[in-house]
Amino acid sequence: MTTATDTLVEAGPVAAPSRPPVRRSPTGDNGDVLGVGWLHGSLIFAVFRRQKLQGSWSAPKPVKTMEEFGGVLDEALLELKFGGTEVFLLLENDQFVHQIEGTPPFSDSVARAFLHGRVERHEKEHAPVLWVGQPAAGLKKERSFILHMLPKSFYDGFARVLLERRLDLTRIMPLVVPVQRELDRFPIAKGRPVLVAVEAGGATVVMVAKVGDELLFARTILATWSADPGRIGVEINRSLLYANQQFGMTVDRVWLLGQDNHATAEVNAKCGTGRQITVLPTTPVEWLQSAAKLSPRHPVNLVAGHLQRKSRQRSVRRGLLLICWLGLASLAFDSWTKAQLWNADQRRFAQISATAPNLNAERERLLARNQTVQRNRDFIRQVEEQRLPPVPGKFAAYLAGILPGEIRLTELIVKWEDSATGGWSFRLEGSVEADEETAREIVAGLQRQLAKSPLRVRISETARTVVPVQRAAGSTAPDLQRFSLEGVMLEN
Amino acid sequence: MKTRILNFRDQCWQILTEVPGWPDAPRQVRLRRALPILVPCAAILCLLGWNWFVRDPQIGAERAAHQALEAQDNELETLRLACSEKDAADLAARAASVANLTVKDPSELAVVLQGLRKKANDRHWDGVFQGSDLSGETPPVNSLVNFLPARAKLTTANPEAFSSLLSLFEQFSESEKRIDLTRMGIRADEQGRYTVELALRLVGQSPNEKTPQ
Repeated sequence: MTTATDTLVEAGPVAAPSRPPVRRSPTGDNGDVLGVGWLHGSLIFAVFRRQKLQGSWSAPKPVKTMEEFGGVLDEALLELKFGGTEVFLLLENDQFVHQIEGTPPFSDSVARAFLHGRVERHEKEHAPVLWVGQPAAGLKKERSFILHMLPKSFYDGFARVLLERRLDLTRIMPLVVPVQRELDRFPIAKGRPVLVAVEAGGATVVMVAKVGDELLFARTILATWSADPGRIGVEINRSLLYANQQFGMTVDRVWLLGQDNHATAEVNAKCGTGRQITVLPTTPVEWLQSAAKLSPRHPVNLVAGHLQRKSRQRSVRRGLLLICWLGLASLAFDSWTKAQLWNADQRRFAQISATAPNLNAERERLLARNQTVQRNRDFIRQVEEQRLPPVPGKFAAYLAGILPGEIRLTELIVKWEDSATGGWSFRLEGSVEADEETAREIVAGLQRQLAKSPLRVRISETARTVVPVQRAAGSTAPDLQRFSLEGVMLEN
Repeated sequence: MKTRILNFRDQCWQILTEVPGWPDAPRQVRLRRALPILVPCAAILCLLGWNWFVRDPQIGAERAAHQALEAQDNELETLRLACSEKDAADLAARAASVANLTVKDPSELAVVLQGLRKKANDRHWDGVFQGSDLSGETPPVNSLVNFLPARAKLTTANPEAFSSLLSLFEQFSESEKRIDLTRMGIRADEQGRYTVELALRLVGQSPNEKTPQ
């Protein structure tokens, strides 16, 4: 359902304005927000401070071109003494197209891709546009969106007029957005369908929606309430029939929102009985007030994506700048460092070349020196460090200290096992003056004493023997037992 | 694919050349806007080109020309770093000192053994110290020293002489020469007489080695 009709506003690439724009202070921003309502030729400005209206000003005559807009804007800025930078635009004109599109009942991303294809086709036929899809109640099993499409050339011209005056455009919204917002606040039960007709400059915007729910559809009628009330009545009735036919909804409440009630009688006459028609005197400033309360991130803000894209591009550009200059600086530093190293190498080469005849002699000298050093190390290690410790003497001294009185040694041998174990071995032989059992205990005691010695003695169990000495018959000599012990010492 | 490439190209052009607040700026202004990015890019390309095509080949050629000399210089540096001159001198001095622990020739061995015999006699031990036959001994490969074996047989009739034997062993450790006691055998008979057999090992310098310097 397309409503674009006759061209009223010629907003495209802008020629140089007839007089220079008002130059505002580059540092001044008191946080105020300027709302611009440009509704089919009527132009109104309102200043908001923390979403509260501070003042408003209307253009005395219809504004149709961007050149006219620039002049009127300067006048408004002076009148309103606007000290902020943020601007939002509530727009309705014949270039701003609102087109209902049905999409397959798939996910949001698929629906968005579908809409994107539609927009691309539109752009091929016309010109690049800023667009946004507003969800609407679908027909049958389709999903439905209202595609709001604004020529990019209009946006560029408008943004340039603002930039020349150091103003920053943050929102562009169609009139249905604040109207739908206000509709949800009407004293009507939620979910009930309502038709709202809004006087918008030289046109009338008709919107059907359920309270607190999605929009059903919206259309623009190029007729004013005062000049053509009959047509208004007919078109509102058509819209009611369309809602009944397409959505199966009987809309019994009609709200007329305008500055006068010239069309009320016609609407009453054309729409039949049984419908509650309410007239609510409304000025465009009130729509600006409602729009001022909406966030720049509102889903139906046409420039949200565009500004986001611009911001992303600016970030990328800044990143590129940083990377390029940092890359150049690091490359230059790297080249300088390499040049320094190369200079040092060149000096070294020159030095080596100068001493080349002596290099061989120096090499021979160093080789001989290092061989001598190695030989001296080996010699010191072999002579001094591989010296055998005085284990035999230590063992003999230790043994003499612990030997019990009953034992008399006859032989003690300690020797260095050079090749086999690399340690010390010993052998003890002697006699014990005691009976066999006592002798065994004494020898075992000796063995325990040896095991505790610092020489870490280990007795070979198989080599330990205690044998009684055979005596002649009738001998009165005390019992005597011979014994022998063998073992190793871990001391080395 | 082609559309994507074209879109990408357009986006790059936008990022590089977009003039804020002037969406349809002329090409000349857009190019001027791109200069802060294009200039460093061009400088980077020039530097890289100079590095790759001019400087690196020149450095490579000069390095190749000096490669042999550089290798020799590196080898010298490695040899120098293996040991400092001071460490070499210290080691030589210590080796010379250690050389005194060795027995230079058989005549010196005889003198050493004679000295040991005298010390044993001083401690009331009678005995003989004599060098062993060296003909069957082969020093280990790469050894800078060879061992000179010697034997001793000591006897005493004094039952209290055991402690003096221990002090004799200490003399071996404190001797000017390195003397290793490799075997000790002590026998005591019924009358309290001791017979001690010792195997000793002195250190001599390998015949094919020079005296350490």
